Formats: sequence, C-alpha cells, structure tokens
Amino acid sequence: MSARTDAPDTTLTDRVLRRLGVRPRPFRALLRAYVLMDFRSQQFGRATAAKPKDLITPLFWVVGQYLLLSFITSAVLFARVSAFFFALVHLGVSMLVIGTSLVVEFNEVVLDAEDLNVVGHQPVPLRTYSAARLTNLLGYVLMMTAALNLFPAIVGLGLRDTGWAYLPAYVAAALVGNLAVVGVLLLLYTTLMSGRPSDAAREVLAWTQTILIMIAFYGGQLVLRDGQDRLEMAAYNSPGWLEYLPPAWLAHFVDGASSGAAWWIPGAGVLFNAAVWALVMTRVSALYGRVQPGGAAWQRATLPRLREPGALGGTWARLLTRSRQERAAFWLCSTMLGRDQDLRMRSWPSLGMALALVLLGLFMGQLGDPFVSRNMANVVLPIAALYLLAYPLPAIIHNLNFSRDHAASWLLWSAPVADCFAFTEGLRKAVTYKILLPLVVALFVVFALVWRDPLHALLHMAAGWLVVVGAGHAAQIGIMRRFPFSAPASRGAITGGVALFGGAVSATAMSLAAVHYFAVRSPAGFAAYFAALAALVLALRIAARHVVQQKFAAAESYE
Amino acid sequence: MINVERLTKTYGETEALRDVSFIVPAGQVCGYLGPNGAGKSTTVKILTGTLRPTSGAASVAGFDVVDQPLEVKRRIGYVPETGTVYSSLSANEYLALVGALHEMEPAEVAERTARMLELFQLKDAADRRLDTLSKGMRQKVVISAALLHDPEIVLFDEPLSGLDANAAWMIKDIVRGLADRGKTVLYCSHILDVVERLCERVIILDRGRVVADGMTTELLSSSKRATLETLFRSLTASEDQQELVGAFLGSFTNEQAAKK
Repeated sequence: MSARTDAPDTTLTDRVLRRLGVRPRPFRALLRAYVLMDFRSQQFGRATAAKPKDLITPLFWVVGQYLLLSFITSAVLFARVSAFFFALVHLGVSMLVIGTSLVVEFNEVVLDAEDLNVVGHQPVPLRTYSAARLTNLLGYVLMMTAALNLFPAIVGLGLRDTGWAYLPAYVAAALVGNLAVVGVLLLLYTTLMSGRPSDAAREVLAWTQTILIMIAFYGGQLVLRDGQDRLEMAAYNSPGWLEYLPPAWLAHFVDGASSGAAWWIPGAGVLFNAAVWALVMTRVSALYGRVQPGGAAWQRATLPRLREPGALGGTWARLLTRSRQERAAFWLCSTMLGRDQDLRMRSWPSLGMALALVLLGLFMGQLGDPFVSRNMANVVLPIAALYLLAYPLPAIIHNLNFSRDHAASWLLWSAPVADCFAFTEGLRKAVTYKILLPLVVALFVVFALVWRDPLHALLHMAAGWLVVVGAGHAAQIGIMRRFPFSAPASRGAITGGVALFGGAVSATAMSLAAVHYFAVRSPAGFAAYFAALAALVLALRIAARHVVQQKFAAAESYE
Repeated sequence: MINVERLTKTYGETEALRDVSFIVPAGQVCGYLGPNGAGKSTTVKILTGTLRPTSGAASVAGFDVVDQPLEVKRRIGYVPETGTVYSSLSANEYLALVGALHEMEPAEVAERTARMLELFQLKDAADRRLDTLSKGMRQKVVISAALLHDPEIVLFDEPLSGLDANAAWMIKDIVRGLADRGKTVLYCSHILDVVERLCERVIILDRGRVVADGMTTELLSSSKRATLETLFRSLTASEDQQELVGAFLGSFTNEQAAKK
C-alpha cells in the first residue's frame, strides 16, 4: 500500500489551513491551477477570433475597464463635492459593480459543477475544493477592488477636506465594503440554492439579479439626472435615506478619518466579514457536496416531444424565419434561452434598465406623453426607456457566444451553413421576438394606460421597435463573429467583452433619444424622424449582412 | 473520394502536419492511425472544412476544402473525437437540428431519425435530455447525426468510444456496409485490432508525416510483422520506450516482493 498522506505542517499557513479543515497541499495545487487558468484563459480570444499573439486575458479587460470607470468618476467628482460624497459615490459604485459582477458570473467564479467532473475523483475533501475556490474568488475580488478604487484612493487625497488619513481609511473602507457585499451575496445565494430544487432556486436568483440591477439603476438615475449644479446640490443636501446605506456608513468613516474618527466602523466590518465568510465557507462546501458530476440529475430528464417529428419550432418559428437554417438557429437559440439557466441569469438583468426607468417614472409621476407634454422633466424617462431597449440586445446576443456546451459547436462548424447572415438572423429574431417583443408590448400597455392615448403609445413603441431591430443589427455587426454557444463561459469574458460595445450602442441610442425629444413636437417632425430611423435600421441590416459573411469566413475553427 | 496533396498545417512554431499526401477512393475504408498528437484530428478537421491548412490542398468528393467548404460539408458525415453534444437537447431534437442544418425535408428527417433510433435501441430515450444518457448512448446519437443525411464520405474519429461490445460490432458492420455501397470512409482510431480487421488500407502518421501507407495485408507482409500493432509500434514508438517503462515501474513499491 502506498497511499499518500499530507506532509506534516511546516508553516503557520499550513497549520491555519488544517485548523480550517483544509488540506494544504491539494489546496495550494488547486489554487495555483485556478489562478493559472484565470491568467491563461483563451476564451476571450476564441470569442473574438483574435490571434494568440494578440490575446489579452479577460481579466485584464475587466481590470482595464474598471480602472477607466474609476478614473472617469474621480475626474468628474474631483473639486465638485465633499470628501464624504466623493467616498460615498466611489464606495457605492465599487460595491455595486463587484456585487453585480459576482451575480452575473456566479457559476464561473463560485460554484462550478465542472470542477467535480475534473477533480471530483481525486482524494481531496470538499472543504478543500471550496477553500481553493473561495480563495481564488477572494483574489479576484481584491483585484477588482484595486481597479475600482485606485484612482478614488489617490485623487481623494487632493480634496480640500481630506488629510493623510484619507488614504488608509478609504482603502480599509473599500476592502471591508466589497468583501462584505460579496460575502452577503454568496450567503444569500448559497442559502437559496441549498434550500430549494436547483431550477427553482436559480429562477429566484435570476430575478434577484434583475431586481438588484433595477435597484442599482434607480441610484444611477439620480446621478444621470444631475444637470448643471444639481450634483453639487445633491452632494451638499444628500437625501436622508442615503444614511441607511452601508456605503454611507463607510463614507462617513472615510470623511472623519483625518479627525481621528471612528475606526470601529471598519473594525466592525472586519468582524462582520469574518462571520459571513466563515458561514459562506460552510455553505459552499455543503453545496459542492450536493453537486454531482454532470449535474444532470437536477434537470428535468424527459423533454416534450417535437410537435412535428423531424421539424424544429412551431408556427411562429415558421412565420418569422425564411429558411430551414434560419429556423434552426431561431429554434436552437430559443431552446437554449429556455433551458440554459446560466444563459438566462446572464441575459435577464439587461432588461431591467428600461423597466427601471418606467417604474421610476411611474413612482415619480414623470411618465408624460412626449407627443403632448413640453416639460422636459416629464418626458425624459419615457423617451430614455424607449432607447434603453437598445442595450439588452447586444448584451444578450453577446451572452449567446458562451455556453457550457461550447464543445458541441463542432456540429455548427462542420454543418453546411450556406448563409451565415441568415443563421445570425435566426439568433437575432429569437432574442428580439422571444424576449424583447413581450417587453415592448408591456411598455405599450403601460404607456397607453398612463397617457390614455393608445395611438401615441403605439407610435412611441413603434419607434422603440425600430430601436430594438437596429440594435440587433448593430449586435450582428459588432458581436457575432462566430457560431453561438461556441465559447466557454469563463471569468471576465462574459462581462468584459461587451461593455465597450454595449456602451457605444447605448450612447448612440441615447443621442437618438435627444433627437426624438425634439422630433415629437410636430407630426411632420416625428414622421421624418421615424423614416430616418427606419432608413438607419435598413442601412444597419445591409451592413450586417456584409460584415457577418466576412467575419464568419475569417473565423477559422471551433478549436 | 478524398484527395490530399502535400498538406501542411502549422500552429506557430509547431508543425502539426507536414507534406501529407494520400488518396482514398470511393468504396474504401481507410484506417488513419498515429500516436497522440500525430496530426490525425488536424487532418480530419481540415477535411471537414473547419480548419484551414497552412499549405497544400485537399478535396473531398471533388470539392476543394478551402474554396468550396460548403459543398464539402454537404457531402460529409463527421463523428468527432470528442463527440460532444448540446446536453439540454433530446436525441429527437438534436437530429432534427442536424437535419435542418443540412436542409433536409422534415418528413425525411423524421423517417431516418426513427430508423436510426430503432437501430441503436434509443427509441425509449429519444425525448430524454442528452446529458441524462450514458456516454455510449450519446455516441450513438452522434453517429446517427453523422449518417442522417446519407453522406458520400464519412469521417470517423474514434467512433467506438464509449460503445459496448454489441454496439461496437454493429458500427463495424455499418462501416463495412457503407463502403460496400460506395461510400468513402476515413477511420481514425487507436484500437489497432479493430482497424486491422475493418480497414483494407491503413495510413500511419507520426509527428505530422506519413510513415506508412498501403493495403493492410501488404504492409504486414512487406514489413514482416504479424499484427498492425507491432507494425505501428515499430514505426512510431521511440526505441528506449521499454527502458523508460522499466525505470518508471521501478518507482513503485513491489507489493508481491514485500509479501514474500
């Protein structure tokens, strides 16, 4: 018999790990492997058809984007607001971004059933897997925290009302805040997941994520709606409810740090984090214990029979598509959106923005009819909601690149797909008709009821529909470079790849929103604008056909 | 027919294939062998039009794989080494998807699907998610998908992976039957005794180059080797392999000796 036992503890770390029920050697080996995989990840390159030498790992994309974000917000807020408000905004953004990033990539960063397929047969206790995963996650969170807070930590030192203590206080607050957000989210999710059947729990998670983003967007709207001096006014007369938010507690601590203020706040935060993360460790270990390799036992095994043997899709699929291959793409995409929980979790939140604006307008009584009202404050929200419909399409279509079943894409690569544009049209139509159309109809109903004018609501949403179709074609141009579901869902690749493009599409859409605002003032103006919008959509479609054919021809292989 | 001329494929500094040439005529089952990393799968991917060669040319059924990949893809059936499928689909759905990608009539897809599922005894599992099926059952679905559209050329990359003895026997019969009907079959495998019995011709690849190409019986007699396995080893194994194995085994504790 030659079974190995772990070597005796030689370092303090080893002893601590053993105390925590973690075996040091496998822990280190797993952690090293996870870190190496993070930094060697080729998935982003595959998804973008980049050459190996041009590859930038997804992590660097995300870090770069977060650095840019914190640089911009630091530059915007510097010398305009107090140290408290400066810290509040940056800590809030940092906690929100890290929280949502964790939610979106939950399966890639926390609980990956594939782990057990690969290492499940190795003699490593579940607690060791979990510890390695969580430590790796911790490193990820720290890296993101550094990227999101580097500029605020340095720039904040130059504010009039800060002293030298600002820097350590800000760093401590950022660390405590971000770790607490991640810990609480993990605890929430892992508790939900262990308490219910997986499918139902993940439905709950997907909606939780949507609601989180919507809540975040309410906060974001306060900043977006800040014209001329309102930012300064808000900073100096911040609403009372802000005080109830954890970032405000931390911002108060940062603000008062120079005068020797309460260090008990981060101290309490550290204790809170220690408790939360200890619980998280237990929950994640328990969950790993429940996850069986393949995870298939969690899914419903038997599927409904095809309505017509040998044919894909029903009447709608036939009506909406023009060829068998387009229908195949439409059906595949619709089916995956329906059955792939990860995909749904990544896709749904992007719908929250437009919904959030409409809800905000309803609650604030600012959902005016743009065809009637000349009061800008009254019509901004319904118009912005319309143009924010442009955002979900690139985001969802980008998500369609990734799948746990990416290796199965050999089927698509080796299939005689004659018209790649038609194939991508199938995808676009699936997202447009299955996801966006119900949203557009829902918004039409809301506007028709609130404005008491169905015709205006119909015209308004007709323009919205053109925005949706145009954004879909833009996504074909900017995002669809290869067959769907052909890239593995890897950390950072999902959120990292689309942010710039989605931002550009949204920015273009919001510029159009400004034109829309003026165009609706007269019937002729709206008609002209509508015609121009239709022409733009047509031009995008023609360009998409050209670009898609070129890109697919250039994409070399599925591996 | 498959026609490969001076095919070369490099990945950066690595040369996966170098000047590989061969012709497989219609009605022939050709074994395509080689150690791991020899370039078999690379060749097959090039033949399926999913990977571009660095230089050289290849045609399948008379169509160039680089210039006319669609025509090539219409005529081939492909069983990849990985055999991965969309796990959330059922066998019925998966085969319907393949039929749609090949623009087959739904009625024809339904008829051929039913026949395939019956042959492979998958009728009862036809509407189950593929990830709830065993590896062998999924492999049968992949093989069904490759044959669904009645291809002229079939490229098998380890088709027996995961199959039980009965299913493997059936596949071997199918492969022979396809060749008898004039189909061209390129058969990649590491199971050399199967290749020896199934393939009238073998091509052996080593480090991206063809090191043997000929009718199986002729190769064995000319090399004076009794089996394909010994021929394969003589062509592709390193000379000191036996010594390396001996040294490796030396690192294990000898339980028998310890008992004595």
